[in-house]
Amino acid sequence: MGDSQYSFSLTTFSPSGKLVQIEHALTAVGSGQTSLGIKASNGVVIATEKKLPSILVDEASVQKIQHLTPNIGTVYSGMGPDFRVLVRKSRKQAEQYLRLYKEPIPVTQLVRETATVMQEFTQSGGVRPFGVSLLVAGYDDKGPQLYQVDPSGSYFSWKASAMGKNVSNAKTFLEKR
Amino acid sequence: MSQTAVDVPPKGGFSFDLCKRNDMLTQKGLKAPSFLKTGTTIVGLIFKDGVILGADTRATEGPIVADKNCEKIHYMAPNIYCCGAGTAADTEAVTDMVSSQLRLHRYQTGRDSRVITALTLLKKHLFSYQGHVSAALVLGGVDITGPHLHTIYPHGSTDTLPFATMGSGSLAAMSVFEAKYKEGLTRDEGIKLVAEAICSGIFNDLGSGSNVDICVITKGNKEYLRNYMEPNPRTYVSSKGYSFTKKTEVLLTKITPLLERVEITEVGEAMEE
Repeated sequence: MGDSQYSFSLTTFSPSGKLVQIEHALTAVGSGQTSLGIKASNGVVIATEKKLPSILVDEASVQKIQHLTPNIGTVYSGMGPDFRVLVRKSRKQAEQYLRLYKEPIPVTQLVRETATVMQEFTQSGGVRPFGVSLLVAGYDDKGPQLYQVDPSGSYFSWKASAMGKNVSNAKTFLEKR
Repeated sequence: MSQTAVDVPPKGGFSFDLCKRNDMLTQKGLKAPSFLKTGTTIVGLIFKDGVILGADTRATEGPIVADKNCEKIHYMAPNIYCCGAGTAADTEAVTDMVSSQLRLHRYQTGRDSRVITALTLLKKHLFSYQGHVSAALVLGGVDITGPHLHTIYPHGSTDTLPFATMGSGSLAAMSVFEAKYKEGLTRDEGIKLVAEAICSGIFNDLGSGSNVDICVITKGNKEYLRNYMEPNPRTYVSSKGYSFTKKTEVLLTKITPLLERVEITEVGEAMEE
């Protein structure tokens, strides 16, 4: 990936053992619009704030919550264009899984593959990490599931989670309830 | 054939390297392995509210019936179905692949698939394989622009028709259509005509047989009538079940458990850290 002159990774370790680019990516996520998800006993709910830059923007054309498969959906906080790319890749992976195994992809598998893609972009040459965190909500044989995937490629399963602006307030609220 | 070397793509794509070797072997007298051909009757027609597709259910391997009740009407999209004649593996693989591509396309565009999209994807694929993918298809569906019916030949050419038949039984079925088809048929008339055409193929063509499958697609709705008609029921199953005559008596039932071979390993010393 990348021109031969940029075949080295732009994400390099700092002396304290941190990947600074990923920290910056998380900051980008933290300044994005709030989104959250809650896992119920019989389903999962995800929601996001849809604040448009001006009243002239066609509201119907902005889709912040997308289907990945008929039973898995996702919402993001952070950079919209990065989200589009990830959604496209995830859909393709879900489709390839279905073609190969004739089974709808389980939520954990799709999350793992998406997280792998995000991790690749932290270790490849000439590319930067994605500036989005995803909340993936799905319902399969194991019941309702909610996962958060970070720019570093790590993923966590949550009962309820929030990302973006005011995340601490949102999480405190969710913890109480 | 041109003599210039062609760069083989590093991944994917069909490699024609072995075709020359296969030709040489068949010339020397080696019989090529046979494949499962469907030797079929498949039909489609456009009626007042949409499209009706019909197919028989026999799959043949030379003179042998390999599958008495196979499914020849393949799903492409919720509003598009495709009947396949020719090599069963080819029709299955091609319809599966294009159905997958259509699904991804639906996610991207947020709209229902159009029949013409399926048609173009199929014909592009078949043409690029120059007829080696032996799939003759009848593609029908109803999309935003209305009902459509197309036929696709293995080399990649297509026709758009109000009624169509393909497969070894196509002549038998076409004779029924030519005699009785008219525009503006109702659903029941259409189904009856399709069933008649398929039956004509089943009874008059060796390559077609068993049951009739029908699929009715209208705007916003589809009905897959699997085994709509079964004009060839099996009659040999003995309802009494099978019983041994006196001459074969069960004398003794003895179960000998196999001895387990258990190997005892000496307890060695623990590894030093």
